[in-house]
Amino acid sequence: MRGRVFLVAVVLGLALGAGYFAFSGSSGNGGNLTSSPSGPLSITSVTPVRGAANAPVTIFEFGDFQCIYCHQWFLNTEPQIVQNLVNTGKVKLVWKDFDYYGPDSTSASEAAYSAGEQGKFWQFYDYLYSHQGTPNGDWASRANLVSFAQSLGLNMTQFNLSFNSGKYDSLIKNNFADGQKLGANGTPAFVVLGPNGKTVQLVGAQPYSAFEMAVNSVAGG
Amino acid sequence: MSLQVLDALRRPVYASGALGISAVFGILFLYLNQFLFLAPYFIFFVPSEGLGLFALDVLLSALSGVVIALSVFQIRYLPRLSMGQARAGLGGIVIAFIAGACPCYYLVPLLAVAGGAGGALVTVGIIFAAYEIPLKLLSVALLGTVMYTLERSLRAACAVTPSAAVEGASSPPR
Repeated sequence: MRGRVFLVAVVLGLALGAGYFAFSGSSGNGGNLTSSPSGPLSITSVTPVRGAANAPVTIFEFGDFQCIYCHQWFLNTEPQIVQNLVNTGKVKLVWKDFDYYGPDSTSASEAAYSAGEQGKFWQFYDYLYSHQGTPNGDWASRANLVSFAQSLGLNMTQFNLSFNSGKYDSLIKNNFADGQKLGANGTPAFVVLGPNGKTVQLVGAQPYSAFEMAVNSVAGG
Repeated sequence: MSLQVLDALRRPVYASGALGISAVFGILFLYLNQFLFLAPYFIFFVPSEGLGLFALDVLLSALSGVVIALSVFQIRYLPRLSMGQARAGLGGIVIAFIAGACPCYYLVPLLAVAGGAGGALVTVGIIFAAYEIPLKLLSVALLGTVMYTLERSLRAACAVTPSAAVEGASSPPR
């Protein structure tokens, strides 16, 4: 009998523990990122930007090309953001890699940045998410990334030179550090930055309606 | 012929217990699988490709609640609960949790940053992420098996036999 009571206690403890873990502090999809409009949210010449440079609102995406939820966001939310907010000049979308799934994630980012040198970062970004496979399942191996570049019609001499140079190592490390400074503890994580420095943070593959509200919130304030 | 497990759930205490536990599990599963967002806005969102996983989460939550409530009922009225059955029920719930929690987008990077043992756990988490649906189906099968064994044991306990009368076995009040 005592064993059974213990069993029930374990199950209830598990449920309560998971509940505490999910809803406490900064963990979870509703967690808060620490607002910091300078530094981590800076845009340099190599930062990929989609949309008009003078768009009043900026959405920073911290993502990993192998992340399942980033893929969900890419499929379900990003097209509406691009269509309704980016293409209308209200918002520009900025990519910051936050690679943690493993070496293939880093390679994917390096390849995307290398494609960016030929003005095809976003095409590569779209291609990667459209062809995402099982995390660390070799779909983003260096050999496959090279073949993706070929499929996109990139100048392969230039691409390979950049891809194998290691020139983006420090950028990738800095982006990860930037994400951590902002309190990001997972991907996808977003910071919506308004013209007056007001920010709203969203964590997880949230739907378009959440971004629309966040954009309206920072644009007005 | 009515099912004994349904009879047990007609009692308000166990019905509300099952409902409450299912609700807790459901909220957790939906939150962990990013169907439910709490901040900065409270949003419930099920993308079309997530319908299967959503249905599995709802089924698992309901089964978990019912199995826990019925296990308590059985412990309360039938002191001969097999530990094997109890372990199977617990196993189903634990697997459901692992399958739901391991792909947790925030758990993996935290472990990645930790390095060392954390790195190994990341790999485990990624494997669980890749097999989330089969693991949840396994959990459903385990919980279904437990439901079946609970039904059988309740039915057996309710059948009054001379030997049971001699042994003085207690029957759940109807």
